[in-house]
Amino acid sequence: MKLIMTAKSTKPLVFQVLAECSTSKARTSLLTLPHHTVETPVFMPVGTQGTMKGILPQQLENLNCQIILGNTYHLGTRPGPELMAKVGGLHKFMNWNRALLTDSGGFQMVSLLKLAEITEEGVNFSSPFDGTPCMLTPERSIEIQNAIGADIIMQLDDVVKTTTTGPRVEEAMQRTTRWLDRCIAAHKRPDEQNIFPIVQGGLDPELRQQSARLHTEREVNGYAVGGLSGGESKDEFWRAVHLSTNILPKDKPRYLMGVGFALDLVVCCALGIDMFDCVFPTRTARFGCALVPSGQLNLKQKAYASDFSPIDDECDCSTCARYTRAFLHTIVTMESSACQLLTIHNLSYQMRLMRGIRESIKEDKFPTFIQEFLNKLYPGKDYPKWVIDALSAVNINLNESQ
Amino acid sequence: MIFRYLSLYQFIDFVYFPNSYMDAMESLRPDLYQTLCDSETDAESTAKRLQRSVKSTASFFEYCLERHKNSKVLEKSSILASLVGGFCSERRRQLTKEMASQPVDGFVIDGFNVSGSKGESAKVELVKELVKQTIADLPEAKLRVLPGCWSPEALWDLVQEGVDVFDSSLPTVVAERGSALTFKFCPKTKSFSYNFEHGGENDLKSYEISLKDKTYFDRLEPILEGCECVACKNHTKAYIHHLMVTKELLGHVLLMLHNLHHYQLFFDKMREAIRENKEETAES
Repeated sequence: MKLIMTAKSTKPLVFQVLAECSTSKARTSLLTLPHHTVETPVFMPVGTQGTMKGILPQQLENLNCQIILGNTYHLGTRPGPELMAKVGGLHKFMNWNRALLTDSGGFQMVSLLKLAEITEEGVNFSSPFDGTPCMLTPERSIEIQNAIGADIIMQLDDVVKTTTTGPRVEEAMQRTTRWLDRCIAAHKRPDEQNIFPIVQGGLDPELRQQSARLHTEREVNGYAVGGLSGGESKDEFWRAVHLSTNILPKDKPRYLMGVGFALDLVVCCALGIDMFDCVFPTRTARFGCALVPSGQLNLKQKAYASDFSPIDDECDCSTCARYTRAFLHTIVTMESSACQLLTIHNLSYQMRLMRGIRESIKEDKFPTFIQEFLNKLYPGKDYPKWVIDALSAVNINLNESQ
Repeated sequence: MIFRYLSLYQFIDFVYFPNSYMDAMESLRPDLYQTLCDSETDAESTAKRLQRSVKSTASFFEYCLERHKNSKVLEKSSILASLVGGFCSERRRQLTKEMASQPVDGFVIDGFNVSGSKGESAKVELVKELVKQTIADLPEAKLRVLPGCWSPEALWDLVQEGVDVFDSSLPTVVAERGSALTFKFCPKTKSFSYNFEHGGENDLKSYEISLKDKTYFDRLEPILEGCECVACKNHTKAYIHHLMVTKELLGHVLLMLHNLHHYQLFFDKMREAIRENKEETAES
């Protein structure tokens, strides 16, 4: 699709809704960022340490990746913000010319570091290298993200596990807003980088509503929905997403963090989400699993030893053009090239899925797309209840066998 | 010239079973292959060991050649006779003379145990003498293959002795230790030059730089100025160093892309040097 830019926009983010699904809350838009214009709904692969494992930036472009993630905790440690600033940012450092998004570093801290302790000031932890006490504050997180230079940067939020209940959840929600204000105040490049706040509140609808409302009172160009990628039940999950998108403004992008399974992507697009990220497709590739419309193929299984078809007959990626399941079976988890070959395929799968979603919304045929997608994933029509409920909440009723 | 060909190193299970080996050749249908041999010998091998290696190799050869002649599937494949004998001049000469008149397409000079980084520290002067002697007894018009991880200078010497085909061990071994080839070879002067400007502590050999070395932490130039490979056109030493430190797969990928490219160019230049030599000889 040819994109015509008229006057150069001084805003670091322009969000233009191209089409809306007349049944559900899905929409397809153009998200114009300083480095690239991204078509949404979009899936953002995660290139943690400034690289997608084993893949050249050129290969990512060929796969039509438009925006990828870098992790602030990892990059802030190695190579560190000073070198990033010296080089001119992560774009230049890794030679990726399209859009970048960085997380705040908070999530990694809490999940990777055993001794992370959260105070009003920030996240207290012991350096994994020499054990010295360190502190990640909202200011420091933004400082590192300013050096990395991504188009979208995330506020440091007070993350709690979805399974947490009680006053801690509200405390985290309120602190997240206070930290948002500190992040905005510390931000040195508001004309080039967009801070996204993160809606928290656990699974409590009241708290989530409050969090979203507080965020909409700030001058921001997009919103993230956080704290929903593990631990909670699928039923609680979709309801929290649905609630969040009902409150968040329609004219700005909504980013659901940590979601990447195909089924979740499709349903959450129907619920009005525009952006997703997840390590799943690239991680599962390294374990020898290939993504296909019917689910996953675990290529380590002996069943594939003499299967001479490509991973997916309808896939046009370079892996499916040249290699058979049988060949991949012999090399998965043993040769590093298997990691690359499967990563390319899985990214291609994700990109094609998102393109299919976008195109069907443009043609106002998204419900049909969903039905066809589910037919392949659940040929026996045994759809999970949460999927039926979530889609029904946005007026999509599935063909079920009685 | 470098080649991908099927060597016996990939078939450890088949080492003592020539029939399984030839079954495998018929399944794989390589463009060229060497006959099964007992080549796990080196400078320290005893006389008895060398005798056994030569005897087994000759016997395997007979079997492989017979199977090859009768194989429809291998009609288009070229068979290369394996020559062994460790570092013993007599044993090598004996076997070479036997093999030289055989109806094969070429010869693989094996049995020095120079795979991997062993090749880099091999007794090159001895190998050169033995290769020289071997080639003197081989027909001019047939291919000579010498596997092994030779340093660039050793390789040029071996080319001048008459070897036609080498493998890609050096670029691979160098990449595996996190290094990039940076030596230069001038076809006109036939001499080598090296990159000592960085003085990294970990630069193991004169012909490479170690991207793991802290020196490269903030170096914003490519591995080698003027190199047209994917790694040098798109990435910096600093980035590759970061990939090494974080043990990211892309680091190794970029080093391999550079090293293979650099190595291929080296072969282009050696061929140019040989052509120049021929022209000079013709003129004089």
